[in-house]
Amino acid sequence: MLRFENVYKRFPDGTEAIRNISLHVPKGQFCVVLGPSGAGKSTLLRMLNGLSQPTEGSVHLAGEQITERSIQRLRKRVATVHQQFNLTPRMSVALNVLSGALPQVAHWRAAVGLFPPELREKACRLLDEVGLTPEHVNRRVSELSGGQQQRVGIARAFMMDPAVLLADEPVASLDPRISRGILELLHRQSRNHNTTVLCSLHQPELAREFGDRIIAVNQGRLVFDGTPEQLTDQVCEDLYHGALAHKNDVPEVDEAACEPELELAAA
Amino acid sequence: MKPRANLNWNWLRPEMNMMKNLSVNRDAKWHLDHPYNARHLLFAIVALMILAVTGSRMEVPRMVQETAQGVGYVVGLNEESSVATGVKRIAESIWPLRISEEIEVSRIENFDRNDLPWLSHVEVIESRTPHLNTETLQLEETIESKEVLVKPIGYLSHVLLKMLETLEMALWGTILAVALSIPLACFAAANYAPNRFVYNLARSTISLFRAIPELVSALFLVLAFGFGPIAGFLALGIHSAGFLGKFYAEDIENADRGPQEALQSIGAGQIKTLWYGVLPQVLPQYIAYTLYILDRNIRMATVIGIVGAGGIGLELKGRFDMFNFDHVGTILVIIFLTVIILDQFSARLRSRLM
Repeated sequence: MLRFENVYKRFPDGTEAIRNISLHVPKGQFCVVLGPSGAGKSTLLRMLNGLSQPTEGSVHLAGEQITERSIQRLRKRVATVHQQFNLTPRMSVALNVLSGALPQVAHWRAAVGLFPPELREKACRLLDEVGLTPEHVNRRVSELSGGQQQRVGIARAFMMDPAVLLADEPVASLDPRISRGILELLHRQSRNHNTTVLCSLHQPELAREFGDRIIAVNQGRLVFDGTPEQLTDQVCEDLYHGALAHKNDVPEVDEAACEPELELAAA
Repeated sequence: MKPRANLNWNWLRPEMNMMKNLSVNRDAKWHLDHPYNARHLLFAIVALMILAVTGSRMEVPRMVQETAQGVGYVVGLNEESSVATGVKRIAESIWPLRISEEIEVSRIENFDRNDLPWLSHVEVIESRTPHLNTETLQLEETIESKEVLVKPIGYLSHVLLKMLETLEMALWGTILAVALSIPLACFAAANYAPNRFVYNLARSTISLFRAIPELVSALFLVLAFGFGPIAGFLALGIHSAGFLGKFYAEDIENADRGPQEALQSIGAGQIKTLWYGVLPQVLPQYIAYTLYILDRNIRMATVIGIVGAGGIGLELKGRFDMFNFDHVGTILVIIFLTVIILDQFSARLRSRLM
């Protein structure tokens, strides 16, 4: 379904976000991307919905290469769930969900906000599936809690029956309990709609629980690719602190220098 | 003493680091700059020179002297003051304000004595005109009596109608400005302009609109469209489109990128992204700007008539030129009241929207 072939991405300032990644994600797989901040997870995902283009190599979606021309057609089959939800504030929940189907809607209908009845029904059904209630529909998105906002984001993502769902740290700004709920929802929805998912996460335990397959990137390189069982604690430790991690440039505190003050504070 | 091996002091680390740094820098030489230096002195001298030169050209000393004389006259220190007499003369001729209107019956066509206009009555007034009899060389008075139709609030209602016309001019000027500036703003926002050329064209059009003062464009538009409100609201619209275009464009550029990326990534297209990703975010700001522009256009519309572009300014200019200061007084009071009321109204509306 998704295929990366020797992909490089360099930004104009010279940083290399992606270095030679080749990856194939089969249809219907829930693939989790792990890696520390700045590892290139977001860039990897953004190359699939056209918000970023590879400098070298090629990205294929359903057997077709993503180019500037094909992306306009292909991106309609790719939905994205964002870390900051990226919902339009001050707009109602209903309109936010409906805006997920904007490419299908005629311009005049979009301009006056008259969405076709079948889309309206679909929006209601999806809102029900993500666990929101009818009284939420006409409220402004900014009045909802973070978890509820992400549920709206997921409902919006499924408005166009996507073949691929990209979830860019969907739970990074949510607490652990709500995070689990959101991931359960993403997992269930993608199974029910037979959607391929590429989901970047920070929590290895959630990755093990929900992922069919886990990959890890660091400094733009693919450093791990395996099943949840293969993602041992040792691999996580290496990824974030050890062999697979880049040099930690945050200065360590000199324990010895703190010692006298510690004595004073304790006494 | 309890063993403190298992105590965790990590939470103190930032403070510890700070203390460490302080102790390291204890021997360093500290020096705070003096608050003023030669550059400040130079700046002060140049500023004083500019004030002295421009002040003498603007006759500031004479202004101070004559104002002081006027104040002295009011409190009784001075015998006379040209400023005070001038102000007094204007005040005397403005007061009482002109509310009623008198029209000579003989000048009204098809005058029907049995069907007078609302609230009006017919009065006979006698006017005495002195003139010199050339034969007797005596001053004689001829008494003429004429019938006039008196409308008690005739002039007031005339001014109020003119004020309404002024408000309508401001309203249509604002509508025109919004209609002009929304497309301009979309092209003048760097992230939605189709290309560099269109962007620069839109930006410079907006600057050009803003650079032409209403009174100047109204002068030329009066030549094109003739006297009346058309020239007025066109002039207002063009000038305020320059402001609104700039404000709108900057808001589009500064809107949160998140929702726009979300819609862009599914291929919603630029127009729909603007409509659903940007507009809901910036709408309250837009309404506030538009209300401000409306407010400003009302104030400008009152004076724009002076060059012949309709509204209450035309009436003001006419009466001023005929030295009818009581009429001028009525007009000024009406303008003043309208602006105050609308100011309150728009301030309240704005605070509710924010």
